[in-house]
Parts: sequence; C-alpha cells; structure tokens
Amino acid sequence: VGKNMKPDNYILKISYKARCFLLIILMTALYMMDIPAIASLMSGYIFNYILKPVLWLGLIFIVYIFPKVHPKGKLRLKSFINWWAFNFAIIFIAASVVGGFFNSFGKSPYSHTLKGMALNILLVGSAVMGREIIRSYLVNSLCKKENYIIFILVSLFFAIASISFSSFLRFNGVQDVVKFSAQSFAPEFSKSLLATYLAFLGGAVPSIIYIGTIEAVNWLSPILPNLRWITTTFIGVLCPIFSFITLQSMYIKESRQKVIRDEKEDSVFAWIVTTVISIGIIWFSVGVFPIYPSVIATGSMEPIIKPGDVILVKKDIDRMKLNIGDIIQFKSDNVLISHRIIESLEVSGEKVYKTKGDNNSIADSEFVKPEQVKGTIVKIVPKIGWPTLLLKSRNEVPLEKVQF
Amino acid sequence: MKKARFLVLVLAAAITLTGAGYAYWSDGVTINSTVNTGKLEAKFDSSKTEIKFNDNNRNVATGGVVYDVPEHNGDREAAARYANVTLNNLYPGATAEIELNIINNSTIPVKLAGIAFTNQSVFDATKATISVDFDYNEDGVKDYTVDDILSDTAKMQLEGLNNVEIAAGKDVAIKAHVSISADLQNDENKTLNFIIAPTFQQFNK
Repeated sequence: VGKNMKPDNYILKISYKARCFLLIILMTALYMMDIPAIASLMSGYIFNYILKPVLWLGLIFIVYIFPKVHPKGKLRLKSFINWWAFNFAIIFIAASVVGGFFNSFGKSPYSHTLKGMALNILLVGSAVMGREIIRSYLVNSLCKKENYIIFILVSLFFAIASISFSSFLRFNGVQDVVKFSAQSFAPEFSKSLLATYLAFLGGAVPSIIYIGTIEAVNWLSPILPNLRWITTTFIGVLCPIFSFITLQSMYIKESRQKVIRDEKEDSVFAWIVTTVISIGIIWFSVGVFPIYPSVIATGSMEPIIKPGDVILVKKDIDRMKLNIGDIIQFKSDNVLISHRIIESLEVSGEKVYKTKGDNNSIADSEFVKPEQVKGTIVKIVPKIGWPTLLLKSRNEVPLEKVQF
Repeated sequence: MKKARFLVLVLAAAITLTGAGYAYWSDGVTINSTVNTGKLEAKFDSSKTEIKFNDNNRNVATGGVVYDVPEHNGDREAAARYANVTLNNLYPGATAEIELNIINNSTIPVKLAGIAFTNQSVFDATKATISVDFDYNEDGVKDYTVDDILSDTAKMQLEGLNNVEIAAGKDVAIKAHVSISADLQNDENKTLNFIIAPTFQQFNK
C-alpha cells in the first residue's frame, strides 16, 4: 500500500497544479478579451451583458466540477469570518464617505434605471463571483498554511484582473504611471490581499461578501465620494491592509480555545494609529494638505516673523484677489520668499503685486505675478524651525534674492 | 504576523512617497489654474469632414454632418463646437466611418475636458454600435478608443480623456465608427442622428 501511495500522491499534486494553471490561463484569456481589437468584434451589449457573464459562469462551473478544496480556517469560525468580511467592507465604504466629506461627492456615472442596474449586477456580479471562487480555489490549493509569497502572487494576479485592460494602455509620462499605480493598482492590490486572506480562511463566501458589498455600493449608489487621487490611495491602500492585520490578530485570538487577553490586540491598534499619524505628519510637511509649513531663514519680516519661525501657508486662495497687507509666500527663481503685499497694480494688462519685507527699507525689485504666489500666511509658529535651519545652512542660498 | 506588518510598512512607505509626488504635482496645478491669458477657441474644422460607408453601399445609405445645434442657430462660433451627425437610410450590416477634426485656434494649448455624446435618433440603441477613436497627433494611429459609446462604461472612458492636450494651432482627429447590427430585420430605412460635443479647458504648464 505504501508503495502505491506515492505515485497516487504525486499525480494528485501535479493535477492540482495543472488545475490551477488551467484556471489562470482561462482567466487570463477572459481578461484579454477586453483588448479593443477583440472587444470590437461584436456589439458591446452582447459582449458585456451576455458573453462575459456566460464565460464567468462557465469558469465557476469548471471550479464546481473540480475536486473540492477546503479553506484553511477553522470551520466553527466560518460565520465569524463572514461577519467580519461584511464589517470590513462597511468600514471601507465608511472611510470613502468620510474622504468624500474632505474632498467632494459626485453623481454616479452608472445607470440607475431598473434595467441598467439589473444589467450591471449581472455584469459585475458574475465577474466578482467568478474571480472570488477562482481566488479561493487557487489560494487554498496552493497553500496549506499562511504563505505570503502565494498570497502576494495571487493578490497581484487578481488585482491586475480587476483593472480593465485598456487602462494599462494610456500612460502619458511618469506622472501618469505614478498616478495610476497609486490610484488604481495599489488600492486594488491591497483589497485583493484582504480578499485572498479571507478566501484562505473562509473560502469564496467571505471574499465575495467583502468585494461584493464594496462593488454593490460603487455600482448602485446614485451618489459617490469623488476623491482626489491621493485620498483614493490613502483610503484604498490602508483600509484593507489594516483590516488584514486586524483580522489576522482577531482570528488568532478566536481560534484559541481560551480567550487570552494579551498586548497583541492593542499592538494592532497602535500600529494603525502610528502609521496613519506618521503618514499624516510627513504629508503635512511636504504639502499634501491645503495648509503646509515653511521655515523662515532670514529676518526680512522681523519683528513679526523671525529666522527659525515656521509659517503655515494656505494654498487654497484666490490669487487674483489678494489684499494689500496680506503676507504671501511666492517663488522667485526657485527661492521661496514670504513678504507683505504693499500694492496691487496692473502692468501691461496683467495683474501684479508689489511686495516688501517689513524689515526692509525698500520694496522688492520685481513684481510678483499671481501664478508665482504659493499661498498666504495664516499662522506663525515661533522657533520650531531651528533644527531645519541648522541642517539647511550648509546649502548656499543666493542672498541677493532674499533682500534683507 | 510579522510578515503582514512588513507589508503594512512597505505600503505605508509607498503611500508617503506618493504624497510627496502629489504635493509636487498639485503645486503646479493650483498655481496655474488661476492664470488667465490668451484666447480660447477650439472647435470643429468643418473643411475636414468625411463620411465613408461600407464598400458595397452603392449610395444607399447617405449621411452628413452639420456643425450646428438648434440652440445656437446663428451663433457660428458656439455652433462650431457641436458636430450634428445624421446617417439616413441605414440597413442591416451597414457601416459608416465619420471623420471629424477638432482644431485649436487658440493662442494657448487647451485640454479636451470631455466629450458629450447625445443620441438623438429614435433608434433601438441595441441595434447600432458606435465606437469612437481619437488620434491626438494626427499621425494615423489611434491613441484612444471608446468602444461602445452608448454603454454605461463609455461615460467613464470619456472621463479618461481629460489628459489630452491640444497645442495651439494643432488638430485632433476623431473617428466615429457606426455599425448597424445585421439582425435589424424588417427595420430598414432607419435614420441615426447623434451629436458630438467636446468641451475644452484652458490650462497652463
């Protein structure tokens, strides 16, 4: 018997891999159908609402006739995992709504007629079901216990699969690539990673609950948060990955027979807070938010602003309507200068501002154009910029530009 | 556990760096959005209109483009931003390629902010497929395609246009491909009428 076991085992293993390979090939083929050259072979209606759902159902059927693979989480925790999959989806949606309050809301671009909604449910629903069932099959066939390399590979594959093929074809320079990676790819990857972990613990059901709930709100809600791309990145990447580590720590705790309170639970929370605050501080200092800090190096605005003070500059202003007396920060030949507006003039039909440092005897020699203005100074924090000044003092600043 | 934390760290670091990029790029945008210079005049160039039907059409289906819409009767400047395309006497299997041309006569580059597409015809939308492609630099190579203009996803795709820049004095070619479904039985002699209206945005580098 022992001798016979080996070849059987071997064949079983190979065929598992072969099945996974087959699913990956089929999914890739389905994905490649979106290439404009292929998609334009038939009417978009038939393609999107008939052919694609039918092909997804076909894939689901293939998984159904394959030998079953079981998720690796404890069976008794099944409803716990499903419940948290739903909660994490709600948290994600709530975070996006909160982001909407900081940015804005917009009307959904999707159809909200009964027929349109039904068609979209068919289109998106079949793809979500198909993807998640295959995800669960792949991750549970390929790993017996937590295996991050498999998690990441599977998540990458599904992240790419959930982004339409045509969006990979329209890059126009570095900025586009960064923006695309940050706005679409990274959030999809993060979401995919959580879905993969959910599928690993609880099979296709929790990952369908998670992705399905988010997609349902996205496609069916008439109003959606209209986020700046950086907000999309922030929420889209952090929310699922934090959900991931939270779920992991909760699962470990729950899967033990006795509930032991240890520091681990708190440490996840501490991690989340630390990460968010760290990103917040760095983003604030580099100028992501509408108000950014800037260190003053010279005494041209004394006594109000002294060297080493930090000023807070408000970016979101009407540069054509600045008032006399406003202290503005502007850029002149790559040097940032913060001076007071003393006159608003028109030179050959263009609006310009005349500026002067309070401590200077004469006004600045060059007029400031509205497009040079970076913002108005709204707050001065004394002295906290000294460390920066000490670090920067080695760099030469063309002093003739600064005009004491 | 530790591996997951490592992932969090890597992603957080990536987000932080992206923020720096955002601050750098959005800096330029905020400043430039307030600048007002030059004249903005981007419109259709009516001299470069062409409609090609399928080879075996034998002048059965006909078509034309009028650069006007009722609400702009008389105001030729405003009307030239609308291409009112009519295809008459369509039949099952008919295809048409409508070539339009947007010219930027402004003194400054403009951005194509979007394209509004209005189907005016009383025509079963499932029986016609209209795809539109754009050739930004007029080199004969498609730069952007919206596959099925009547679908919901088209709206999203058209939003993706807003990065297109047309330099002063340059053109963008728009080709609309119409194909009438072969199952248009007992449904001949149809008229398809749609309006393509691009909107432009002024910007500075």
